[in-house]
Amino acid sequence: MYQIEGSGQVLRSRDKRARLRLTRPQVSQVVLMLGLTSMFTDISSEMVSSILPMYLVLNLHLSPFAFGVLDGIYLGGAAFVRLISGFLADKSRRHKEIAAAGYALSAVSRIGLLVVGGVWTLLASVILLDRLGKGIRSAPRDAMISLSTEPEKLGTAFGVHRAMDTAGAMIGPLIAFGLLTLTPDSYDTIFIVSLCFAVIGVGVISLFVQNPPNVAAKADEPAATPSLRAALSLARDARFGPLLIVGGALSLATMSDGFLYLTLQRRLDFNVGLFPLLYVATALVFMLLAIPMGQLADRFGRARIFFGGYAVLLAVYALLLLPWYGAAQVIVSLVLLGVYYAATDGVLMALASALLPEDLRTSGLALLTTVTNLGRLAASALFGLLWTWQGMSVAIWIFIVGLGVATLLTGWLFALPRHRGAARGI
Amino acid sequence: MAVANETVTAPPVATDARRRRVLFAALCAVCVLVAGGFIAWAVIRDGGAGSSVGGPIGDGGAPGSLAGVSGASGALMFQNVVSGDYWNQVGLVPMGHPEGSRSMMPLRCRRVHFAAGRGLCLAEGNGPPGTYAAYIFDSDLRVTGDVDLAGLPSRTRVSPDARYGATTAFVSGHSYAEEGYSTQTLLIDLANGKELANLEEFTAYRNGEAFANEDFNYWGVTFTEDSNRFYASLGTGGKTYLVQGDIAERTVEVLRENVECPSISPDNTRIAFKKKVGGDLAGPIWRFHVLDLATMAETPLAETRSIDDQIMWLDNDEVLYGDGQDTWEMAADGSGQPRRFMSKAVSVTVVDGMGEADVASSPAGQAGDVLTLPETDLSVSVDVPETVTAGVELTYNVTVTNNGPHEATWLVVDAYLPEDAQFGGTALVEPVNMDHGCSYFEDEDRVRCDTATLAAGARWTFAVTVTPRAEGPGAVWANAGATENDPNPANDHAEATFTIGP
Repeated sequence: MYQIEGSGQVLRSRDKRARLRLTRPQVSQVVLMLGLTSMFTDISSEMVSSILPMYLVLNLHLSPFAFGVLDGIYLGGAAFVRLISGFLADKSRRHKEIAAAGYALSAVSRIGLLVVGGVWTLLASVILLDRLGKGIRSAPRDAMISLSTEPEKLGTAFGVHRAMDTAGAMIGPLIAFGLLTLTPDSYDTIFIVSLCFAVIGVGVISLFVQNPPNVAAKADEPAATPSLRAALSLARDARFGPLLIVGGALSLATMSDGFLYLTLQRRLDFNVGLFPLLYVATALVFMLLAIPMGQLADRFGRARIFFGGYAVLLAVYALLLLPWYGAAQVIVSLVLLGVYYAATDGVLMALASALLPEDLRTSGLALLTTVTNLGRLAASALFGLLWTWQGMSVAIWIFIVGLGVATLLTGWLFALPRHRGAARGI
Repeated sequence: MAVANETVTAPPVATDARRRRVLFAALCAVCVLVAGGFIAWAVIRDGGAGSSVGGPIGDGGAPGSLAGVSGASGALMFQNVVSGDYWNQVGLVPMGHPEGSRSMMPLRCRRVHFAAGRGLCLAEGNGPPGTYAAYIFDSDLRVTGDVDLAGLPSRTRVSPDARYGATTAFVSGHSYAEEGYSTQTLLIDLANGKELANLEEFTAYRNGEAFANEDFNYWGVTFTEDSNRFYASLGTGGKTYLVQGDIAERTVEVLRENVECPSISPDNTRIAFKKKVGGDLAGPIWRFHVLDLATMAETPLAETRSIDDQIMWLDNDEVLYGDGQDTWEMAADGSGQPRRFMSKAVSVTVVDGMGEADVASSPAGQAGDVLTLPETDLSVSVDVPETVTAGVELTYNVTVTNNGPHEATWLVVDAYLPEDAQFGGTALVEPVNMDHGCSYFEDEDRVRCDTATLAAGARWTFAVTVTPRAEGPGAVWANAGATENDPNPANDHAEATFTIGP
């Protein structure tokens, strides 16, 4: 499906033709291999996370409140670890090695699941290990995608990666539930198969991914290593700083998918057992559109597509308040939600990559991801409170207004002269 | 690639690339072999698909299934969680012999309850994996109907006259941890096998006024003798309430705050429940209490661990509750100590006598197979030094001995510290290379140490260090238990009292 090109020169010679078509995305082998790594790792992790509640509650007879603990551990730990690993990757210029260590940590946690059984304290550490691995690897991986891609193709590269990543997230639960049908209740089988996928993922990154040449070349120049002060001052950078604000503001006004589905369910009163299907439908649209949206972003401007993505999300929220309801509303909402993800998730990373200096790329991406994740967490808590105190409609109205303001702020910041370049996708 | 081949470094690069590809192919081959081999082994081990899905097994029950096992004095029904062929199968033991041989019934459940000839069995549904249903069954263990559940089974109860049933499920969704958890509680008409209502459809009142919130969650129904009235928990705005419901009127009325998973006593005078007494990052901390409905007085029960379960009354004086895979028993008036009631059994339910004769210790095998748990006698002792001084470290030994005849597996020892003491740590005394783990539960003054196995005849000693803060009388005690039944449960508990001097 993807044409692999071994050399940047060949890539450039075909550039003009490629710009005219959206069909065959051309990305470097590094991007493709990182996509494969993410796909195998996501198959592995989604296999486990889709059956974890059943395993904990029905097999180990643990209290379901266990989930709350795990999420708390994860959110605190991952944000901190991501910032550290991002800076270390920039400093050591060993993006691949640090990312691979993160993938390996998650693979090791599968062995942990096999051996700890129902010992609660150990189980929590095993799950923490997996989440730490995720925190460690994501920023160096995204930095490698951007450093091995020409600036004008960043959108496409992130699109390809996110499409493969999401494919893995959809395949994982299918395999897990398939195995549960074949051998009911044998969770050890799921953990073993999950471990195998994780090991293959680690194998791909270790054997087929090399640090981008421009990074590797500098690895022997200790004088030029970036300082912590430089990394911290990224937040005040004239071009990257506003993007951080935009990312944070938009995340603060974005309700979680769970709440969006719950709102749809309350309006239409369909069986709550269908929730997993809603996630699948959204992921499917995201997967299918991630590459075309990335290509459109490269062609017509990443800021425009990113802005458009949030306009689509506003439309999804507005749909929730329509006086009439029907199954069509659910389908349209899910498709639009998938469009929103495709237009914003990878595109934001492409936008940021174009603004960040090479030697601080990982730190910057880690900072941005941490800000957006914390923003989403706060938004989720805020929406829950508003829903409880003021009811569903008020909560949605407040989020529509908030998202509208954040989107306008985004448009204004992107329209400033110093951002025109980014808006054009350069 | 043609361009690359013309450069000087081409041959080593090509060789290296080939080496990497070969290595990767080998890695994939190993992974496929391991995964495939394990799946094949699991299929053989578990007897293939369908062997342990929920609901009826094969053709289900036969006439007189329950009467064949239950004597005149009744029986205990439970969900068997001994791993192996009978995993999750419904089992019966004669009343008064909870540790006796288990008669296994052709029904597999995740939660089960039974009363007056009808039962509810929550298990995997007929749809794809991850869907669940409530199966209605009769005394012949034949399934007469089923109702779909919205998620993971949590609680189920049948009214004393078997007219109604109730189920609570955790609403599943990929990320429901994201916004806490939500529940779905259904009332089921057991006569026609149809869903009667989702409790959220009932009209709620508080202090005589209508009470409604978007975030209402109901769970843990318990039915009264007249079966029209019931009690349940209502969660909203971060608080939980005890509600009393009326099925005919389709209403619920808020009675009291901070009551979860109510369970009404057989004489309908008291409600046993879990009360939230604190909470932290590790979730809520609960203690079991009993509420007297006449005086509204609350009595804390003897269990000092935080346990998330809906209590089951054994009779008017004793209650049962599950902790992990075991069921425990304690007095309903707050006196005494909790003790292990059944190992590897959950959802324990009292089934009234329906047989003609009391078959006490020899269950009839006609309704199913008989599973006998291996037995081994554990004993525990606590050795405290002669002088104990306030503000000075006290180190005492806890020793567990397996008197045989079998190896003890999943051995768990709970050592309770003196009240108002600073925990110092634990240390292994003998055997020196024992594979074990210990965790300290601060809010419960308890240390739990566990190990996978202790051979027959073997002894395990560990030391606990604490610093008592105040002078006066002090006490420490320890409980030991394993997967195996204990023919002599009296010595599973040891206690030492002492005086803390200045």
